[in-house]
Amino acid sequence: MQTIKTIFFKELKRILSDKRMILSLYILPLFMWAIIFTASVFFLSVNEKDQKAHKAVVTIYNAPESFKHFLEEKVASDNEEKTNLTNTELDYKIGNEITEAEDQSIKDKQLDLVVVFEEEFDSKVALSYSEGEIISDIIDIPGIKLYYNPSSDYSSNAYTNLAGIIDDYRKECQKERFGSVDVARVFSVESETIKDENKANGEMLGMALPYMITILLFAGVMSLGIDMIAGEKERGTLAPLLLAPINRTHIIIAKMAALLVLSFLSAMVYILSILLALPVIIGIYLNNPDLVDSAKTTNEISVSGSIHFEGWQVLSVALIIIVMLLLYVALVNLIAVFSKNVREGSNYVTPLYMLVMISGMSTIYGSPNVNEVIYFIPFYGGLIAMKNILGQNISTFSIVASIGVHLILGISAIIIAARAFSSPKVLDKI
Amino acid sequence: MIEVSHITKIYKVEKKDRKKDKKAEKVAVKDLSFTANNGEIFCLLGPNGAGKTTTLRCIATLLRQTEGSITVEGFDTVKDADDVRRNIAFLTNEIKLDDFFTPDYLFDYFGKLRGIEKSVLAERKKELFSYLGINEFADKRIKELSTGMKQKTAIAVSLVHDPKVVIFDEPTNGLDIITARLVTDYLKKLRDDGKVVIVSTHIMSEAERLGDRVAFIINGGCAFCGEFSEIYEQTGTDNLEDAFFAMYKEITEGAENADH
Repeated sequence: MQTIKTIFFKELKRILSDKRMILSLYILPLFMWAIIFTASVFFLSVNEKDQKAHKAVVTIYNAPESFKHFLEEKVASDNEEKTNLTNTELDYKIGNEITEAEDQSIKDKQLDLVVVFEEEFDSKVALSYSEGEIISDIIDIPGIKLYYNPSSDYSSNAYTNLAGIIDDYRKECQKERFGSVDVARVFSVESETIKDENKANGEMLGMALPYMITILLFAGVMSLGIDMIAGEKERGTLAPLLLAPINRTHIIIAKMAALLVLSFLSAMVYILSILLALPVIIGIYLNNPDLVDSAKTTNEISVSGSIHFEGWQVLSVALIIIVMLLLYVALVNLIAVFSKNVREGSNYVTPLYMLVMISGMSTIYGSPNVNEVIYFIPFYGGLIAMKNILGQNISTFSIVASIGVHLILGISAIIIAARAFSSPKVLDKI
Repeated sequence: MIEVSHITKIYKVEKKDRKKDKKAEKVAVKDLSFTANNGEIFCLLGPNGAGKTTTLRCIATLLRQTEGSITVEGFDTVKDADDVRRNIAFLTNEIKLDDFFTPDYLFDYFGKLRGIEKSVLAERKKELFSYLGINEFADKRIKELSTGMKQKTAIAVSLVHDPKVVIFDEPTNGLDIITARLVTDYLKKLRDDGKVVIVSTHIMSEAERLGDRVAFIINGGCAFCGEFSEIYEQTGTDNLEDAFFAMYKEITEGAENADH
């Protein structure tokens, strides 16, 4: 036990007193999400300012007087936040079709938008309706064509702005014709969501957490674990340890325990970093009412409610993280035992990491109602269990099954690694 | 005492490392035997790749011989590996100390692993650090030290447990003349203390100056094992270098004739 303790603390000291390691393993990840989201907000606002500063160049063919008048009124009462109309260069022309030069200009991003009204638009609109009967079967409804370049942000914005105005103009025409836009409505649809706010928020976190843990956490274990054994072999620093009269199983156990503790700390840092980033994420939505609106209508994101977890959820997730880490650490160390150097170890461990990554990705989507057999699958079952614990869609049996499978396999891998560490085949590589 | 009895070490060559001859096995040591006694410095001489380091690694329990047996102070290197490890110090250029730690920390660390009491450990540290002049850089990290400083530290750490058997592979390799003399003098001191000292080297003058007995390892086998006067007499020479070359020529030419 004294041997395990001595090696364990030496391994911890090796990492925890290395400033660069601390920075890359714990400090940077702690602020990572907050930095990422703050940077997104920054670039978003830079882009927004740029869009506002840009003078949109728009050509309108055959603009009917009624539209010109409507547009002037819009410009006069322009809400800059939405349409940016005051900063638009309008060019009214007469003609049936966009010219080749204009087509090229849109491609070259010199011209942002071309709007072509059908000739005699106003009169055709008037002709297409006679009170009490529909004449649209006989006379074509006049059309408006919009030409823009979706690969240009300026062009896309000009299109969105003008399309919005044209829609308002259409409603205005309908209003003039029928007295109210609602006359044309056959029925109305109202949808109301019924959900447990806490459960939904948990499900949202359950969608992100397993994925983030697999991507970030296991990458750390991979490099640290390979270095602890294969790296030491390569540097020749493992041999002095093997020359000491100590049980080799103790060496493996001590190294794995140290790696497990360091990785668990890392996991906690990642979870803390998500919590640190939450105010920034909420800030993004509060400062951006459009996003909040769209979030509410599509039910994709909810920032209104707080997330509250029960004790059993926290405990179960922590246990699953620990046993999954145990299995991963054991497998990485097992691979490291058989590897001559870090490069060889990294090559061998890549398929395992890919397997874990695919498991992580597959948990982003998919129904929470899964067959209980899935919880017996290493890694994937654990991640699904984590997801469903947060979404409160799991039985106690499934949690126990998932923890048990990882624990048994982890311990088995430790025993195999310890035995391999004493075998002549492995010793010949040191 | 160390008794090496008819050991053979065969490595399996991995497919990717196989060269033109495509041999799946490599015989590093073949039917090698010698004895090293307490209170003597026993020199292993031989060209690169002759099997010296493999032999020493087998004695140190880092490798297991394919055939034959080795005993160290009466303990079998395979059956009683831990007892052998308790009794030996092994130093080779391939064995390094972790760059991140200081000589002071590493001495205590390996002392603790070997179960040495704190007071004894402190006494050993005082003695070894002061003899080898480690005190002035005891708190510097290994990566900040010169080759000589690293070698001194490695020697001190390997001797932390005051072993009965000392095996040093090329101990003066890369050292300046002053540090090299310090190391060889310390080896003599260890011999005078009654320990078994095995030194592997390719510097003939060093072996002549330092050794009490010598073994020539050529092509994985022991070409000669005995006192210096015996080899001079056998080869008709008066120095080790000439004696070695005479023997090397005889063996390699003999092997070529056998092939033809």
